[in-house]
Amino acid sequence: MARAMWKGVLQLGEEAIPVKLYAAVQERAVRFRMLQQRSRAPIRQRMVDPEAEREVETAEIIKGYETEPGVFVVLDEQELESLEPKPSRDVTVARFVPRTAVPHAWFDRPYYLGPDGEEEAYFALARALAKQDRIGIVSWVMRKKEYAGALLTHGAYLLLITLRHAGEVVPASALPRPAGRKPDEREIAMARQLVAALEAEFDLAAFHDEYRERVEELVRTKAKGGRIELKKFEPKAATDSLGELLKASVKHARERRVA
Amino acid sequence: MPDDELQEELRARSFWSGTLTFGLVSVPVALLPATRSVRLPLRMLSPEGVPLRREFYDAKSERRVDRDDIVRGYEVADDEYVVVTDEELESLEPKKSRDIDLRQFVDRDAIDPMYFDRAYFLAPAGDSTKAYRLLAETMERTNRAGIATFIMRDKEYLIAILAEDGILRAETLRFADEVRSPEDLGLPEPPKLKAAALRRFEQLIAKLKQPQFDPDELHDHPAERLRALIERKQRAGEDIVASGVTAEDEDAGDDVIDLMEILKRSMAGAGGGGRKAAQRAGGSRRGAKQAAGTPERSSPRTSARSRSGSRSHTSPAAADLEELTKEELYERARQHDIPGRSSMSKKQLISALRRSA
Amino acid sequence: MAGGAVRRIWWLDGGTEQCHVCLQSYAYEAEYRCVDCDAPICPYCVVRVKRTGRVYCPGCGPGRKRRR
Repeated sequence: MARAMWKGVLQLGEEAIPVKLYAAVQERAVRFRMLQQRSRAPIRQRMVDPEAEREVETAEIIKGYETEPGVFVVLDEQELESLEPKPSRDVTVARFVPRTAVPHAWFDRPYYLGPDGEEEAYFALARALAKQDRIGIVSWVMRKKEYAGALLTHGAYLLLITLRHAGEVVPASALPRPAGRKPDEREIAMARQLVAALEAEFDLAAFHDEYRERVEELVRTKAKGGRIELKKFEPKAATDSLGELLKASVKHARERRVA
Repeated sequence: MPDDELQEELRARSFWSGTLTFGLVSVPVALLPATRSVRLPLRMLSPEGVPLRREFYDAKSERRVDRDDIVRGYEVADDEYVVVTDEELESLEPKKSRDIDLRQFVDRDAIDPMYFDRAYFLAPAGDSTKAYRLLAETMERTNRAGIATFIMRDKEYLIAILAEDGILRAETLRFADEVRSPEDLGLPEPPKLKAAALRRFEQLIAKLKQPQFDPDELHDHPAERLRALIERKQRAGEDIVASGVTAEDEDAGDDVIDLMEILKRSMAGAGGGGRKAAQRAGGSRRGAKQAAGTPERSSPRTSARSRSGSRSHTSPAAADLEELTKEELYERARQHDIPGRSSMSKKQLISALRRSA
Repeated sequence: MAGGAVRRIWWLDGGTEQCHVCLQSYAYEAEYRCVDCDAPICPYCVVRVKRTGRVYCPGCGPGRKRRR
C-alpha cells in the first residue's frame, strides 16, 4: 500500500472522519538537466552581491521586501515564522456547492483521501456526495501552509483538489472582448453544424502521450551518435473566406463520420 | 501600436503560438497564462541590504557560466549526458508543436476536474479576428469544449478549449496515466453501506448546502499577514535598508503584469480593431486589475517616499522614472517606441527610457 | 528579434512561479514535485537521488537542509 503524505480529520458539522492524504499526480514528462555547453557539467546557481561581486553564503543572507526601488523592509526568520498558520489536523468543510459551481481554472492539484479507520463514515460521505452531485469547499493547514480545496468523489473514494487563492485566476471578464465585426449568423449556423458533426463523448483514456516516447527515442538515437533531420511546421494565416471553408469542413466531417 | 509589432510581442512573450484548426478554418493564436501569483515576492539580500542576483556556475569547475553557454541534456549514464536542442524537440512532432487541431467537441461539464492542470487564455494573433470571434461565439452558444492534443514546452498535453465572454480559454489536462488510481494506492474496497449512514450524510450535506461558489472566500491569509507586517514596519521605519540597488529582475512578479497588458492589447488591437475597443481596454484596466488581485504595492511606496533621500546618487530625472511602476514604464517605452521593450526588466526599461530622453 | 534583445528561453529565464527555497522565479513547466510531500521545487533546488531517480525538496531529501 502506498505511503500517505499526511494524516488529517475531515470535520463536517458534528462528524469527524479521519483520513489519509495521497498524491494523485505522478509526473511522467521526460526531464532534462541544464549543462555547461563544453564541459557538459550540470549548472548550479549561487547568490552573489552584484555590487561587491562576491558570493553570499546562505547563513549571511537576509530577506526583505522592496517597498520602493532600492529600499527594503527586512524580515527576520522569527517574524516570518510568526506569520505561519497554527498547525492543525482538521480539514474543515465550510459548505457544499453544486458540482459544476467551481470554474475549472480554480482547480490546482488533486490528492486522494483514504479512510484512516471509520471506513463506514468515509464511504457513506463519498456516496452521499456523489448522489447529491455536490462538492465541498474546505480549508486546512498542511506543513505550515494554508490550503483551500474542493472535496469531491472519484468512484467510491474521496478526492481533494487544492484551489488557487482569490485573485490568482484572471476572469475572462477582466479582458476586453476581441475587437472587430460580429460574426454573421449564417456563419455561426454553419460553425454550429461543424461542432455538431464533431460532437463526441469525452473519453480521456482514448488519448495518449505519444510525444514522450519520441523524446526518449531521440535521446537513444543521439546517444548512439545518430542525428535527426530538423523539421518545422509553418502554421497557416487566418482564414478570411470563412463561408466556403466552413461548408467544405462540415461536408468533410460528416463524410468522415459515416466512413 | 502597429499590428505587426503587437504580433511580434505576442509571439515573443506567449508560452506557445501557432494555430487553432477547426475543420479547414485556421485561427492564429498565442497562449498566455490565466493564473498569476499574488504573493509578495520577498528578495534575498546581503547583510548590507543589497539584493542578491542569481549566478550560474559549472558544478565541476565551479566557474561562472554565461547564459549563452547553457544547453540541456538527458543523463544516459552516470555523469554522461546527451545534449538536446529545442529545435530537435520541435522536430519530433512539428505539426503538433504549432497547431491545435480541434477534432472533437464535448460537453464542458463532462471533464473530471482532477485532470485539470493549468488555465490559459488564447489571444488572437493574426491579422483578422473574424475566425477567432466566430469560434468563440459558436462554442459559447453550444456550451461545448473543443478537445485536442498539442505540444508545448517539451510536453504533450491534452487540451480543452472553452469560450467565455467572447474570449477563448484553454485548460491543459493531465493524461490518464499521469494520475494514480485508487487501486494503485491500495485503498480499501468500499464496504456495504447501511441506509441510515448514507441518510445521515445526505442530511448533513443538505444542511451545509449553498447555491454558489464565491472565490472571495479563498483568501491567502499568510500573504495578508505578511503585507500587514511589512506595512507596519514601514510606517515605524523599522528594519529598513536602502542600498539604492534595485532587485534586478528577469523575474516573475513584473512579468505577469506585462503578460496581462499584452493580452489586453491583443484583444483590443488585433485585426486593426477600432479605437472604441482600445478605449474600452484602457477604461476597464483599473477594475480589471483589482478583480485580478494584483498585489497593491503603490500605497506603501508612496508613504515611504519621504525617506527616498537616501538615494542621493541618482539624478532627479532618474528618480522620477524609478517612482513609476513597471506598467507605467512600459507604457512610456511604448510611446517612445523602444524596441525589445516587452522582454526588458524594470531596470532595463528605466535605462532605455533615459537613453531615449 | 528587434533591438538585439536577448532571446527568452522558457527553461532558463524566470517565470510565474517563485521557489520557496531560493526565492528565485521559474517557469511552471520546469517545476519538480517532491515525491514525499508533493511540494513544488525549482530545477536548482531540487534534490535528485541518482540510484532511484527520485526527486525531493531540500526539506525531505537525503542530507536534508534546514529550510531557509
